[in-house]
Amino acid sequence: MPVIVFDLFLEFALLSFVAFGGATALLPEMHRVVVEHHHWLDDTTFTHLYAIAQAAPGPNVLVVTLIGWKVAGLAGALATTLAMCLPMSVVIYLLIDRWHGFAGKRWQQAVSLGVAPLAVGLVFSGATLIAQAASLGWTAWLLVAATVVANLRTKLHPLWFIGVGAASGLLGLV
Amino acid sequence: MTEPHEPPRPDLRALLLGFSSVGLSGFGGVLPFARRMLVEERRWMTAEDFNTQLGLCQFLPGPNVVNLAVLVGKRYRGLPGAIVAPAGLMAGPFLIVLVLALLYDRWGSLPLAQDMLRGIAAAGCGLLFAMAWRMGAALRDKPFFLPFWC
Repeated sequence: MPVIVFDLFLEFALLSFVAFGGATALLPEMHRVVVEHHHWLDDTTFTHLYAIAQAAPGPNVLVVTLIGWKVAGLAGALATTLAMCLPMSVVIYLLIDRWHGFAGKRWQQAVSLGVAPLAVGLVFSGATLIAQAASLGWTAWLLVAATVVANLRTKLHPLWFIGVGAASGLLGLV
Repeated sequence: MTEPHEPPRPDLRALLLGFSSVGLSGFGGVLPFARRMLVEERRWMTAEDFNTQLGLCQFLPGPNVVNLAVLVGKRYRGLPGAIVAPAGLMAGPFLIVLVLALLYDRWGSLPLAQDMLRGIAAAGCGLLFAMAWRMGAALRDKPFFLPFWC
């Protein structure tokens, strides 16, 4: 038991260093480690855990909490979550001072300018990945489009859209 | 932006509550909620500032929202802030996800549950697209990006 918890921590700490674009972009690599390499979970369970993490409140990264829980219970959940969050948190904590120390410098402005559109692209790709993972039908795409338009045009709290989505699903509309 | 931006200085409690609300209200990713809380509701950051900081968080590996919480926490309250903000972000959702795991073990195979999850995923997807659109619109004002934008 302690050995598998240690393995979980190690594997997810390593994963956290290649998690460019967040947990959504990391999913194929997590699948490789957890399902194909270690055989900790089967395919079906892995897909289900991802779906739950999407439906649950909280950051997307919580899919690793669910994986840890399934593999090694509470200790596993804590291990994967900390392993995923802690290393880069420390790095960004140390790095950000230098970042702001160089504020206004030409290269800092250049990197900031260059990184900002990257973020837009990564959020777009994250949204696309979610759509693919859920294998949305055409009615679901209508709901997506309606959500985009309504969210951009109104000041409604985003929870309203989640509620509409849940209701549409329950009524069999999507 | 015509109005002068006076950055408020959130204390540890405000950071904890602010990021807890972000963590607990986001479904299928909390970035849209983080942006709403930081830029629109509490005005701890301007839209452009948010884009730049998020860009750095996404430029580096790791969970973007956690990185963002560390960064905002440190900016306003140093090390305690950098611990309290991500802790507030993660604690609630962490517990909820464990409860959901127990529920899923028991009832996850019901079609009704799966239908509901699919609807929620579609709505969450729409929120992400809308957020990307907003962030893109904030860039559009910079002539530098016009060749890439058009």
